[in-house]
Amino acid sequence: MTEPMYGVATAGTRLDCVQIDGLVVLKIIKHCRDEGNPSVMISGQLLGMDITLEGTTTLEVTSCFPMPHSSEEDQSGEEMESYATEMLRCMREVNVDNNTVGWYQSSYMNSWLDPERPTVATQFQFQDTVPKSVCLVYDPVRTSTGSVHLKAYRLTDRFMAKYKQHLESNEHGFTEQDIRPKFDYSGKCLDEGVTIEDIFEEVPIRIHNSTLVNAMLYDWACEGTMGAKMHCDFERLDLSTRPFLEKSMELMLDGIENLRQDQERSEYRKRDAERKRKDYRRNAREEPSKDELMKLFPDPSRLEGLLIANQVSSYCNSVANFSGLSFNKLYLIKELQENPK
Amino acid sequence: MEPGFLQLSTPSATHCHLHPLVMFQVLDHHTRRNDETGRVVGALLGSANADGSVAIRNSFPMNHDDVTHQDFGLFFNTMEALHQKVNAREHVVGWYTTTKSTDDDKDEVGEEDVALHSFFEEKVGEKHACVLVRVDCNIQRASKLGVSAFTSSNMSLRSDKTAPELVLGKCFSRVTCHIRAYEAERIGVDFITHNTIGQGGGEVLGTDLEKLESSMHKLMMMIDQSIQHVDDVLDGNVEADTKVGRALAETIAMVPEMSAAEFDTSFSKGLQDILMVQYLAAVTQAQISFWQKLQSMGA
Repeated sequence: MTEPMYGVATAGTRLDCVQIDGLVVLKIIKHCRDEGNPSVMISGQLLGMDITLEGTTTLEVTSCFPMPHSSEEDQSGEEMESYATEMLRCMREVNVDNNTVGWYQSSYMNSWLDPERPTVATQFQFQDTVPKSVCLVYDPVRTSTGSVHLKAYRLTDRFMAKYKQHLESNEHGFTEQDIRPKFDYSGKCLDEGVTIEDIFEEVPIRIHNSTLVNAMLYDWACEGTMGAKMHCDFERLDLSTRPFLEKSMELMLDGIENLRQDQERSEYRKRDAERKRKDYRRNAREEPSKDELMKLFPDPSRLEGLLIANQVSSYCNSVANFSGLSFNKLYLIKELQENPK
Repeated sequence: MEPGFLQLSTPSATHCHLHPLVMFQVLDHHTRRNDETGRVVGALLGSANADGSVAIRNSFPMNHDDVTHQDFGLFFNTMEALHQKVNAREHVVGWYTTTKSTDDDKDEVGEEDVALHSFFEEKVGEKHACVLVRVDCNIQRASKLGVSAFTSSNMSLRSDKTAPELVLGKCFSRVTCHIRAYEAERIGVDFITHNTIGQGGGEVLGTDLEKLESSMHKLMMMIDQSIQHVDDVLDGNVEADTKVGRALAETIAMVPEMSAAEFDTSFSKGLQDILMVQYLAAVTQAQISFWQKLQSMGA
């Protein structure tokens, strides 16, 4: 058996699994509940280490700490920074892993994909400095229906590369040229482009506890310490569908509307850029090259549109999931009604 | 000397509620202890209720278990300030400690704890009592994790009512301590329990459908259990309990009485609602695909 290797993952290695300590799950739940309002975004940093054993790479998240609310925008950046450094220093003193391995945030009805949220920018920063970092997304509202809703996401390598270009070119990446797949004359793919499926990838999650905590959980399970409710997860059998369906429909409509507006805006900007290029060529003394022109008056960025489309698509997926489950429940109740035992 | 009287002030905290997160934090801290000290100390955060109970919702670890260490006070102040930034509603309500593996089975407050207790008592202030929670981590010896909570009160000697009191020392008394969780936390602990211990422990999390199935199984089991109980009572094997009876009656009363026709209409209504939204979602998805294709074709 080979020895496990710690902290060896680089940008190239695939992350197979995220292993989260029970403590981290509870801390995120608590942070979210303390906030009270589910539509307010809360976030914090994750601490841990990646482990490579026999070819599989697991990211262990062993601790986390919440970030304070940034109420005043102007002074928050520096203060956050000093808060995080101080927290990390204290964590190191009590022997907690003090490698940052990502961050967590709360989400309400897939709001983490909202283009107005800094999800993509933040995750890019993390993944750029710590290649194996993940973003944990916790949904408090879906959790209240009976099972913890916690997912781990990462930006795909392809998106990372494009986003880097985007930042380096002064936010002029993701033009139509960039997101379109490119082929050479023999039909070989040179660049696969970016579609909405290529933005985030989900990483499977596993829950882990120390032996002591497991012992305590056994204790609690045997004694029913958490009350008789411990073994009831009947919230899942809830038959009401209307609130979720109404909200989803509203969000889908809004999303499509946003997408249409964004499309119009970018078309306008594209025409504008074309016109400016033409004017420039007419007035220039010597014929400018095409590259030069594109650099001076670039096509508009389609990043916003991509993100909106991705968000709407995620609404559609969750509706599909939800309705599938609701069908099951409805037919279940029908069966019960018609054939009572 | 005049015979004075011994005065024991009554502790203001009557009982405390410990949230599961705190237990997770304490045990996690204990597994990360330094070898030479053998036990860990930390502060408890929470709030005191009007009825004298103390809710312990959060905690943070301390770097030393020795109050005389030069960094002790500084570390405490830093950590407290950091926690205040995130949640200003939680205050220090006491402290926790774990037991060393060399400790005997004694279940009382040790001598070295008195100085620590005074330190935290000062931080808690006058408003309510400072709670000490001790977690016995010697699971090789004990059959279960022992959690005990204490508060202290001053024992003082007075020669008469007006004379200044002469503090003799502290008297630690045990207070009851319950594990209590709010809804989301309960779901969280349940989730962790299901995914780490027993069957399927440590596996990658299952799908929604599997979870639904397990819920159904549990429901069936509970119904069977209730039927069994009712049969037993009817047969006279078990004595009837009015409380249980009432609870069962209430549960049955909650099942809506509806005719087959009524059920059919509400069933098809529900079905149609879902189908319609599902259809809409499919149309939206198609629109997105179109959008995407248009992007990659270019004008």
